[in-house]
Amino acid sequence: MEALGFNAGFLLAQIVNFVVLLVLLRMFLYRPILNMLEQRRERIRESLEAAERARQEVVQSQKAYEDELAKARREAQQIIERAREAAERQKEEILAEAREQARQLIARAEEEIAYERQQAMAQLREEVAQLSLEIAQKVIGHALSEAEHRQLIRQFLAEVGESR
Amino acid sequence: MSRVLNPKVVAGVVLVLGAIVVGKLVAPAALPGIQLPAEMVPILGVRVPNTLLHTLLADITLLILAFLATRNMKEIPDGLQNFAEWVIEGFYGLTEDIAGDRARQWFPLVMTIFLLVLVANWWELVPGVDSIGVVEPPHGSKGFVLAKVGPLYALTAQGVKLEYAGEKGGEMMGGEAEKSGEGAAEEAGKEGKEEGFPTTEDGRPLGVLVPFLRASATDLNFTLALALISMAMVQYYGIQALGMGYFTKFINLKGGAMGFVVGLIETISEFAKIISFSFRLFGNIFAGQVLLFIMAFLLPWLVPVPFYGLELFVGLIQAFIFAVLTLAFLANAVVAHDDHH
Repeated sequence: MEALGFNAGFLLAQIVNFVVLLVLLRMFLYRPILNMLEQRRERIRESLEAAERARQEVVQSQKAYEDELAKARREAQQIIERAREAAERQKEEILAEAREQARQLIARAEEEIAYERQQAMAQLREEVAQLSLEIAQKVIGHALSEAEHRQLIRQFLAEVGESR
Repeated sequence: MSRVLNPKVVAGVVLVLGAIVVGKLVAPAALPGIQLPAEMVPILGVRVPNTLLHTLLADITLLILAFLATRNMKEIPDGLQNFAEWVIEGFYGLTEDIAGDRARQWFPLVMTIFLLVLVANWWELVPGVDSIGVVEPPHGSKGFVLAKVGPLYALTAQGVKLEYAGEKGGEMMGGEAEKSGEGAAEEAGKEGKEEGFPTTEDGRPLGVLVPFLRASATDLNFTLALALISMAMVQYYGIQALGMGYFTKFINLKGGAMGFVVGLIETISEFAKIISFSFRLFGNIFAGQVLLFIMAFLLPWLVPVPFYGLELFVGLIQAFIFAVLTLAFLANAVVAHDDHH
């Protein structure tokens, strides 16, 4: 062993040296770097989680927004629909009323016309009879009896009616 | 054919070969004395093994890097912090794969083995390690002719075999020059404190270089220290996990004679692991060092370059093997072994 350079003192020195180096490196190299790696891993994990959360939130708010939008659209549609129905109904009512009024007006007018006509006819008939009586009196010169007059007028009117 | 005779290729080959030849002629390197025990460097009056100094250098390198990497920690890392995180996270992942829940517990041990062995191995490849040191009078059977460069001494490639090895600073008999030819200064040395160098017959001083630094793993004390720590921790965690049941692996009385023998073999293999741990690393790095010495000695220019690349790789692989084997033994120790009958 001596020939190989073995020396208990130097061996011990190397052992002590190694132990001291191990302790120092552990303190000044391994621990800070492993801690840093751990810290960074933690940081990355947190960042990824935060990103995932943010993404979820975005998705959620997007969904909420779309829901809201759809709802609003639906409501607008309903309002329009209702308005159209109301308008339609109103239109029908107005038309019906107008038609009714028109019909009433026409009917009244027709009644009046018929009444007027009847009136006019009766009056005319009276006047014609009077007039023809007077003419006849003047022409004949004497008065006929009332009954004869009436007979004559009727006859005359009938003739007039036929000739017309 | 035309590709081989391409003038550029031919010129390149000629240039490389020329450089190798010129390097051999102009700058021959000394082949330093290769010895297993660490050389003792005089530092502040105390002789310290240069491998221990090398280990301290690796320590300091690691601590400075650690300090710089963690000085200003940022959530978004850059530069050295990024690099340190890459290394540590990678190795921590590996530890987790093998150790599972115990990763946090074992990681400092395994990571420190890896880093220390790696940095110590790679420092060996830095120019100056193994080649700058104190020039002393030869204490072995071989000395080198010294050349004075300013206040410093340089070893020339001119080796001299000494008749006998005397005491340090004692009388030396100059021997025959092994090699002729004045070599360029290859190994610069610190000024010898004592002027008492022996001389050759023609009056030139002789000396040897005691380098300040030498790869830690070329010293058995370093590798054995790591192996002992590693195996001690394996036993510690084995006992911690299994209690006294851990020892049934070694003293097996339930399995009859066969079980007992297996237990004995387990015991022996536990010690064999210490040996294989320490000699694997020691052998690889020592052989690499010798290989680099020899290549630099034979053909100093260009040729050693691929071997430096190889040693870079070997240094990494050996550090990795040491760390991962420790991890594997740890993982093995905390698992009960008598449940697969």
